Parts: sequence; C-alpha cells; structure tokens
Amino acid sequence: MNVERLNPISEEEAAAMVSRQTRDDLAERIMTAPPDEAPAPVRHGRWGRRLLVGVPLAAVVAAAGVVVFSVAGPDQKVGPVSLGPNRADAAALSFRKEGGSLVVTVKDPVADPARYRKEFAAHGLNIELDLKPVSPRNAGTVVFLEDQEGSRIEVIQAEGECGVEICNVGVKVPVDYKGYAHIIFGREARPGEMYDTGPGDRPGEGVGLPEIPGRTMAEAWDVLAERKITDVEYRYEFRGSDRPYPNGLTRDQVKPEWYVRDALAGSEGQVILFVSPEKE
Amino acid sequence: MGPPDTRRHRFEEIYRRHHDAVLAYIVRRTDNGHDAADVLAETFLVAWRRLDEVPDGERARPWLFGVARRTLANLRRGARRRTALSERLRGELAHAHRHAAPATEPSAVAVAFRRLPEQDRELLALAGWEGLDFGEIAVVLGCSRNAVRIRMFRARRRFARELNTHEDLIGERVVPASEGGVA
Repeated sequence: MNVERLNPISEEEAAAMVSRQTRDDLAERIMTAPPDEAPAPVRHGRWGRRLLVGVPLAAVVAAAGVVVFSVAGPDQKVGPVSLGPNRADAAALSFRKEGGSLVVTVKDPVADPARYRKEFAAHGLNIELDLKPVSPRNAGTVVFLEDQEGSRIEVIQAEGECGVEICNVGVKVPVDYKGYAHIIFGREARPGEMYDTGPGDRPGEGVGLPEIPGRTMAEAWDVLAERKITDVEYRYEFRGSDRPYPNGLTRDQVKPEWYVRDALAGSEGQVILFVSPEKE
Repeated sequence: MGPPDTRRHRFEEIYRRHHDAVLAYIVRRTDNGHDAADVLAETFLVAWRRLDEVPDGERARPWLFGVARRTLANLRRGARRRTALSERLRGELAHAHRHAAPATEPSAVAVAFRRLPEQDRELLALAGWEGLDFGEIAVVLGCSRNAVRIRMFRARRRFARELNTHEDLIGERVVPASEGGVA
C-alpha cells in the first residue's frame, strides 16, 4: 500500500553503485578471513520480546473515566482461585452479565491464552487476551489494546493488583460485540521470568534495572540474582567501540566495579547487558 | 564445514546471488556510503564465518538481511566495526550515495510514513521495499511468523489511519488494511 513508492532506491540502482571489480575484491578479501574465528556478532535482536504499544493505548487512557473496577457484588464470585491440581480444568475467566454488557474478569492470570480464547469463543466473542509479565510499575495495566469496533470495549485495570495468583483485571464487552479485539494486560513476573517491555519503558526496565546509568555490575548482579535470572550475555562498550571484545565477554571477564550502560531483554529469557569500565 | 574449495564455492554462490539485494537493503537504511560499505562488508564476513548456518537458496536472503539489520543496530549504538575489507567499496559508495535520491518535496504518503513508529516503518518497508513475505520477515526480525502477521496488521492500520488524516491533501481515500499476506 503505497510504501513501494517511498523506496529510496531500487536494487538495480544500488547494484550500479559498485563496480564489478570492487565487488569481487570484497569477496576475495572476506574469504581470506579465517572461517573458524570466533563467531561474529549479536545473536539476539533488540526487539525480540517487545510488545508494540502505540496509538491504541492512548485510546485506553482517554477512556479511563468509564473504567469499571471489579469490586465484588453480592452475586459475584471474586477471590482466591483454588490452586490445586485441577487448576487447568477450572475456568480461566469469569463472565457476568451487566445490562447490555458482559463483564469478564480473569480468574487465572497465568493460564494459557488459548484457554481465554476458548472461553471468550464460548460466549460468541472473538477476543484474544494475554497477560504478560511486566515490571512492577506496569502490573495491572493495559500494555496493548486493539479494538476493531473502535473503543467499544472497556478495560478494567487493576494497578498493583495483578499477580500470578490473583489478578483483578478484566474487560467489559457489549453483548452485541462482533469484531475482533486483542488486549494484553501486564502482570507481575514469576522468578526467572523476563519482562515484556515496550516503548515508554525506562532504559533497563525490561530486565528490572530501571535508571540504569550509573549502576554498577555488582548492583546489576544483585538484581538479577534476586529475580533468578541466570542467562546473561555481556557486551563490551568503551568509548564508542567494542574493542577488544567484539564478540562479547564472559562473566569472569566482567569486573564488579564496571558500569551497566544498557540492559535489554534478549530472546528466550536471556538478558543482554552492555557493560563498560566507564560510567558515561 | 567442508573442504576449503567447497566453502569458497558456496560463499561465492551466496555472494553472487544476494549481493545486490543486501546492498540495496543497506543503502536504503544508511545515510552515507561509509556506513553502507562497512555494514555490507561486515554482513558478508559474518556469512563467511558462519557459512554452515546460512540457509540454502532464496532462504539465505532474509537471513542476510537479519545480519545486516543487527550490524546496522550496532552501528547506531556506536559499536562500529571498521574493517580494512571495505576500503575500496567505501570510496565508491560514498561517491554514489551523494548522487542518489535527490531530495523532493515530501508527499502526504511520505509524511504519513514518517509519522509511524519505527517498528511499523521497518515492517512496512521489509514488505514494500524488499518484497518479503511474513515468514521471511520473521527470519529478519528473529520472531515468529504469527508475531509478524499481528504486527503487520497493526502497522498497516496505523499507516492507513495516518494517511486518512491527510486525505484532503492527497485526494484519495485509503482503504483500511486487511489482514492477510503481503500484497
């Protein structure tokens, strides 16, 4: 859709920028490099686990005036869910009719999202719900919302009240809602679980290390140990260069008095720390 | 890892087949020839060193884009890797870059595109400029195909929304994106 028109340069134009000779020269030079030298860069994309938070979230904030809190009414069952072996069989959501709407609250915050989906479907709703581990600051809030019928779904946020056992978030959906919607709430993380992050997070917040600048490695290690995160990759930064460690460092090479420059959530539960002997 | 000649042969094949596409990918995302040259050299150096990991045939292309993308990201955060490999290339590209793409008045489409979050622009460009499908974009970004599908849907919607806010300027109504394969 129109993006093609914005293409700054075609493949043919790019190809014409480089002479045949230069092209062959580069290939030859590359092939003189020892093939089995330490494998080169970065295995983990910066965006691996990021959620997209954008326009829709602003819509949610604007609608905050009509947010319904899931305070227990006389006929409403709210409270600790039994956590016995039957947990997987118990309903993951609770549905309650209220006027022309269904009020849906989360009973099992760590259920497989497929179960939420199924329970919504059983009520004729095409809604995807997810609860993602986030930093404590964001637990109980909406981190993503896509509502196809334009703001007809009200979200029930529960700041500070969304753990892995009990979580008071939910949604209020008109009974005649036919569109697709996708809502992601943040919940507290379990030990060892990475945070999902998005734009608006402070640097390092994704791994529980907000206000990163100035943190020492010793402090960072304490935080990670507390969260039982053991899979850490270290990348070196010193005055704009990764020399002499272009392929990263082992933990033994990192000094406790060094500084953390940035911390990212890598893929598969890994944390990537950019470390430097210098503070800034 | 095969004997040296097999390795060379395989690398030359990959290089010959994908050099132009990778170069175009990089030139579109850099603003000077020096950066483009360094990233191109680094990308193929990685391919040479990790030749056993490079997928066969056309599937090598998104893999190479993924390497180029990470190299660009490193470049942007200042972790520049200057290799002696790309000296000559640097000269040629620096010259060519100056003469490419004369600045024109930005169209409403360009304005709308620029207003999108960077993630959206990246997705739309991978589909629109590199012509990749969801599976290939997933390889470039290192995420699941399904994640690409979802993000693309949103990116297109946001793009359509941005465009519609300018529809009086461009005089055409943009149909909201539908979910599906890359057109």
